[in-house]
Amino acid sequence: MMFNAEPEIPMSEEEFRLIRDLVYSHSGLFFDNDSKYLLEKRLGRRLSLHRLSAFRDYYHFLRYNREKEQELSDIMDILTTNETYFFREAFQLKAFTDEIIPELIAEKEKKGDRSLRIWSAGCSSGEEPYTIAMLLLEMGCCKGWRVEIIGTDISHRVLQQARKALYGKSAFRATEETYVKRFFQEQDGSFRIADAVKELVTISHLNLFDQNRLALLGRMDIIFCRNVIIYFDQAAKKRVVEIFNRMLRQGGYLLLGHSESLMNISTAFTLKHLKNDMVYQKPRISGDTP
Amino acid sequence: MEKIELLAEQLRSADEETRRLAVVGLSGHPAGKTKDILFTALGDVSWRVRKEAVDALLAAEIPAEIIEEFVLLLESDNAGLRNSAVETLERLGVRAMPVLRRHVTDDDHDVRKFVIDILGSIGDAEAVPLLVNALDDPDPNVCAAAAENLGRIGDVQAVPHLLQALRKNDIWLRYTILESLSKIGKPVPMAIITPLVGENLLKKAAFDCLGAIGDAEAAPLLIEGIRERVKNIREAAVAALMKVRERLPEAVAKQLVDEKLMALNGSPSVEGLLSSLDTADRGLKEALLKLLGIIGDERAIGRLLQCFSDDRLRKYCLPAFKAMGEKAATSLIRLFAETDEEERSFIAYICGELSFPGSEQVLRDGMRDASPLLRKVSVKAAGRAGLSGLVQEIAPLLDDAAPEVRKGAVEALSRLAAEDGDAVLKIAGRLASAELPEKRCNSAILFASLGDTDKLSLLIKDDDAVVRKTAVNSLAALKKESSVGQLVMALADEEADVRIAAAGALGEIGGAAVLEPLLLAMKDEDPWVKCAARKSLGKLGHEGARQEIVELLATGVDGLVTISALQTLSGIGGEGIPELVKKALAHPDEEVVKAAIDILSRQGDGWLDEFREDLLAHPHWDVRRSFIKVLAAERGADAVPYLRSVLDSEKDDLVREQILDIMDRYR
Repeated sequence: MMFNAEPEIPMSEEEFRLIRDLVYSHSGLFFDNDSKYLLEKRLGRRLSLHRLSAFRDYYHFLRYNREKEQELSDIMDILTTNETYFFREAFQLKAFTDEIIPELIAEKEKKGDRSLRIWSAGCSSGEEPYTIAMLLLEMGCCKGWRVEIIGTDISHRVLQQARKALYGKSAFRATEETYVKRFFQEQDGSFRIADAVKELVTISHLNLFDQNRLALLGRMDIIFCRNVIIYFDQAAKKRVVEIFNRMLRQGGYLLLGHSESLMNISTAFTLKHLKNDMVYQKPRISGDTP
Repeated sequence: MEKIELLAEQLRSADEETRRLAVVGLSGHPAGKTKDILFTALGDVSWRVRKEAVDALLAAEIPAEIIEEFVLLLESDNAGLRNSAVETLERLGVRAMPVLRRHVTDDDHDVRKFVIDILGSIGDAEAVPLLVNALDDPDPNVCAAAAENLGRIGDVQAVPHLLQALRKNDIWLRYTILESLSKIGKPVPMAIITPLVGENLLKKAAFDCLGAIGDAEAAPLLIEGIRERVKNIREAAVAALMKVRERLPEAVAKQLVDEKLMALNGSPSVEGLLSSLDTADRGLKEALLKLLGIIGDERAIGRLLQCFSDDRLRKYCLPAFKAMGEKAATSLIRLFAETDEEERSFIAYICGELSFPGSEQVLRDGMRDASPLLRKVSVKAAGRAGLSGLVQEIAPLLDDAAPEVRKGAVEALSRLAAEDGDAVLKIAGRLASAELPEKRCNSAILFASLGDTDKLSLLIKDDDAVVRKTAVNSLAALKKESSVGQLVMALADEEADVRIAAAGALGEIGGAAVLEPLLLAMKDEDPWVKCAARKSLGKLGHEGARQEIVELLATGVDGLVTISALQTLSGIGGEGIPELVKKALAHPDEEVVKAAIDILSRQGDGWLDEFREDLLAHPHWDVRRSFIKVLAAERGADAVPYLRSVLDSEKDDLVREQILDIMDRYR
C-alpha cells in the first residue's frame, strides 16, 4: 500500500545518525544524510508496531531489546526493499538483448562454450531475474545452452515473494501484453509466472559481504546490480564493485541502475558506449583469452 | 629489466587496460622513483589510467617539492593532465596549502583561477585572506572565482569584502557575490541588496539572496516579485518570500505577508504560480504549496490533490484545503466519485482531517469499497472526524480480510467510544467472546477506551498470553487503583511478556500497594521483568530498591540494565548516589554515559569541570554532543572558550555545527 495515513513521528538529526550507524555496523548498508527521510518514513511504522513514541526509544530497542536481532533482520527487509517491476529500464534491457547477448553468444560459440551465467545481485522480489529469463526465452537464442540466472538478495521477505513468483498489477506497468500472455497465468487477480521461466532462475539469500557464500556462486558472464549500491557508502561500494570484478569473466558486463556510475569507485571497468545504453565491461587483458 | 622499468614500458602500450594495470603496479613504490612515470600517466588519454595515477601518487608520501610540480601541471595544454593535477591538489587538502598560497598570485591568470578553485574545494578558512585579495585581481574570471569560492568556504569574515566588491561595475562578479552572500547567510543591510532587484540581470540572484538573509523589509519587494512575468525570477521570489516568512514572528508574518497574499485570490498571478508546480525542485514546490495555501484560491484544488501523492508535500496541501473551506469540500467530494483509488483515498483522508460537511457519505462509500487501501483510510478518517453515526458500518470491518483495515476499525471505534459508548460497548462485548485471540485483544483496546476495568479484569485471565498482555497494558493506561490486585496477579503469569507489562503497569498506577509486589518482581528469573520492576520502583522513588541496585551496578551489568538502574537510583535519591552516577561516565557503553550526563545535568553544575576534558574528548560523537549541550546550558557564554579549544580537533560535522551555533549565539 503506497498511501500511509499514519501520524508521522519526526526523526531528529541525532536519532538518524545513531540508527544509521547501528544499521551500518550490523549490515554494511550505509544511509547518507539525504536518506534521513527514507529511514524516518520506513522505520516510522516500526515505532507504531512496537508502541514507541520516539526514535530514541526505537534506537534503544535496537540496541537492548531481547528481540533486537529479529528486529534488525526485519528492518533489513524494510530498508533495502525498493519497489520494482518487470522490464524496468527498457533501454538497458534492449542493450542486453540486442547487443550484449549476441556478442557473448558469438564469442562463446567460437570456443565451444555453451553456458551463460547471469547474476541479478539485489533481485528484490524477483522481477529482474524473471525479466532476464523471459527476454532470453523470447529471443530463443539459447536453445541447447545451459543458462543459469541467479537472483540474490539480503532480505528474506522479498526472496519469499520471488520464490512464490506471484505478482500484482503494479509489477506489470512496463510489461507488454504479449509477455503477460506468454509467461503468466492469472490466479485470483494476481499473475503467476510460468514454470519455463522459473526453471531458468535460481533464487538465493546472499549478503554481498559474505565472502564464503560469494565463493559458491562462481564466475559470471553478466551481473545486473541495479539500484543496490546506492545503499552503500564509498568504502562498501568499492568492496562490492571489487567483488563484481573478481566474479566476472574477462569481457563480462556489469549493468548498474541508470543513475549509478563507477565514478570515483573503480577504474577496473571500461565504460562501453553501446547503441542503446552505456554499460560497464570488464576489460580483456591483451594476449589473454577470456 | 627492473620491475619499475617494465611497468614504465607497459605504460607505453596501446592497450588501455595494460596501461592501467601498469599504474596499479606502480602504486606503493616511493614517489621519488615513480614520479616521472606517474606524471606521464596523469596525462594519459584514458580517464581510467589518469584516475589510477592520481590514486597511486596519493598512496605515497608526497614531498613538498613534488606538490609544487603539480601546480606547474596546471599550465599544461593537456586538459586531462590539468584535471588530474587539480584532483590531486584538492585531495591533498591542507597539505597543499603552502604551495597554493605561493601560486595564488601566479603570473598566469588561468593558474590563478585553478588555484582559487582548489582552495575553495579544500574549504580551509585560512584561504579567506588570499581569496579576499584576489577579489581585486585584474582578470575578471579570477575575481569571480574568488567571490564564488569565498561563498563555498562560507566564512563570515569574507562578507565586508564581498560587499565592497559589490560596488564594482562587473555584472558577472556582482551576480556571483550575491550567490556567495546567500551561501554564507550572514545578514547584511537591506539597503545594499534591494537596489539590485531593479537590475534585470541581477534580479534572480538578489531575490535568492533576500531569501537567505532578508528580513521583514524584504517582504514587500518579494510579494511584488510574485507578479514577475519571467518564470525563474517569479519562482525565486516565491522561494525567498516563504523563507523570509519563516523567520518572522507569526503576527508580523500575518500582517506583512499573509494579508497581502490573500489579496491575490482570484487574480491572474495564481495561474502563473500553478504553472510552476511542475518543477522538479522540491524546495520550490513546498514554497509554492505554502503560498497557495495562504492565498486560498480554489483553482489550485486539482493540483493540490495531485501533490498529495507525495507524502512530503502532503503537510502543505492540508492547510491549503482548509483555507479554501467549503469550496474545497464541494470539489473534492465531487471528484471522489470520478477519480482513481489513490486519489479517492486522499480525499477520504482529507475528509477525516478537516471534517468537511458531506464527509460522512464519502467515508461510508469508502468503507464499502473493494480497495483495502480506501477501506482502511476511510474507516480511520471516520474515527478522526468523530462520525459516531458510522459506528454500525465500522463494526463489520472488524472482520475485514485485510489486517490493516481491521486495525483501522479498532482505532476508529476507540476514538468514537466517547461519542457513542453504548454502541462501542456492545461491539466490544461481542469481540470479547470471540474465538480468535486477535478479536479478544481488540476488545481489550475498546474496553480501555470505554474505561471499563471490570471487563479488562476478565480479559487479564484469558487463555492467550497476547490477550492477557494487551489487557494489562490497557489497565495501565487507565491508571485505576482498583486494578492493582489484578495486575499483581499478572506478575505471577507464566509468560514473561505479561509479567513485564504488569511490572510497568504497576509503576504507572503507583501507590503504597504496588511497592511490595514490585520488590518481589525484582527477584524474577527474567532480567527484563527485573528491569521493568526496577524502572517502576525508580519512578515511584522507592527506597527499598536502592541497596539491591547499588549491588547490581557493582557487578558490571549490560547497558540497558545499567541505564534503568541509574535512572531508578536518581529517582530514589540519597547519599552516595551522585558518586555512582559519576562513575557511570566512564562506562564503555555510550548510552550509559549519556544517561549519566542526563541525570547529572538535573543536579546542578558541580560535576562539569571535573569531567569536562574527558567528555569533550569522548570517542562517541553523541556523548560529546550531549555534554556540550549541558555545558552550554549551565555555563552560557563561559562555555565558549572550552568549546573553541576543541573546535579544531572536532571531526564530526554535527558536533562542529553544534559548537559553531553556540559560539555564534554568544558572539
